[in-house]
Amino acid sequence: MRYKKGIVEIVIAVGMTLGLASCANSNSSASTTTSAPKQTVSTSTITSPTTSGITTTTVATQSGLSSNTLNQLNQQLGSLDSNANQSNQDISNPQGDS
Amino acid sequence: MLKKFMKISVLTGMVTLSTLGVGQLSAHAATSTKPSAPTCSTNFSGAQQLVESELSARTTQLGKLQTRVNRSTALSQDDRSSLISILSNEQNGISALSSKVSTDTTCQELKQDAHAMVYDYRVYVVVTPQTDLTVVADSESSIESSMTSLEPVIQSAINQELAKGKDLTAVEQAFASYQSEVTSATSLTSNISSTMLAQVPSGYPQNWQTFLNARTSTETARTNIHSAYSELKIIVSGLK
Repeated sequence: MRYKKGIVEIVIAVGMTLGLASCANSNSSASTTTSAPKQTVSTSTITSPTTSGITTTTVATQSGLSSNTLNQLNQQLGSLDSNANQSNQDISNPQGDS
Repeated sequence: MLKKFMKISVLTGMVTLSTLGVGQLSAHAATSTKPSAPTCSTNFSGAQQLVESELSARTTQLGKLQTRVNRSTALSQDDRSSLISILSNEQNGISALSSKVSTDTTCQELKQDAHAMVYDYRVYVVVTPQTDLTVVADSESSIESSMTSLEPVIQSAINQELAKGKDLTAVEQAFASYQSEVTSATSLTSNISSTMLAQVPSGYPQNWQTFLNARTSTETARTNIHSAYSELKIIVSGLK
């Protein structure tokens, strides 16, 4: 659960760039995890960097692309539409020449 | 639209001028349910109340704009600061006028204050679209930024699947469209906020066309963004 939260944060804050990069190079990421001092990416985003943690990151980041990213963008689009509708209403029907 | 708007504005301005005797007010005043606006020389108190009512309506509108700014999570820090400053100046100015109008004792004073209320602050035709369109443009910029940051992620994922021999023709087509839509939207949105924030009440009515142009750009960008989102869903589905 804690990993998921961290992963969501990766997806949202970093735009998943790091996540999929690690996906593309999953072997090297996994191997670096076993040598603790080189886990800079994992330690900065996941509180308990372990080998299993890296594996979870890779898989869940991919799922983040399919669900978290779309959901987040969908929310932003909803907010945008609301603001744009308000703006259109104000400009189309100005309340006065003032 | 501008022509129509100007026509209405001039017409209603004439109506309020002739009936109020306190200077040009607004279409809002003229089209409201008030059956007959008082003439200052014969009904000073009524005219005074009308100006106070108009000031109160502007205070309400500025409060709404302030709420929109506060609620927007997409506004850049600089743009938020600029809007807060603009709205604060407007609120302070309208508030000062409200205090002054309540102590006015002559039609001359009332006319001057009514004139200042309209010409110095332009709450409805400058500050409102200025705020609205800045919020919209920054919302679009935020989404465009998110979408742009996904491009290398998507490309990487496509490369991975291609390396496995998967047929991604549909995904690659969707990705090309996605990139095109995001690029178009970003281009349309890029200078809108700075242009909006540069508008001032004294620029009206010339700057009305600037607001209309900005609306056109933001609406087109919004269409691009929605299209990009649709393409993204295809991409995500194809990469599963």
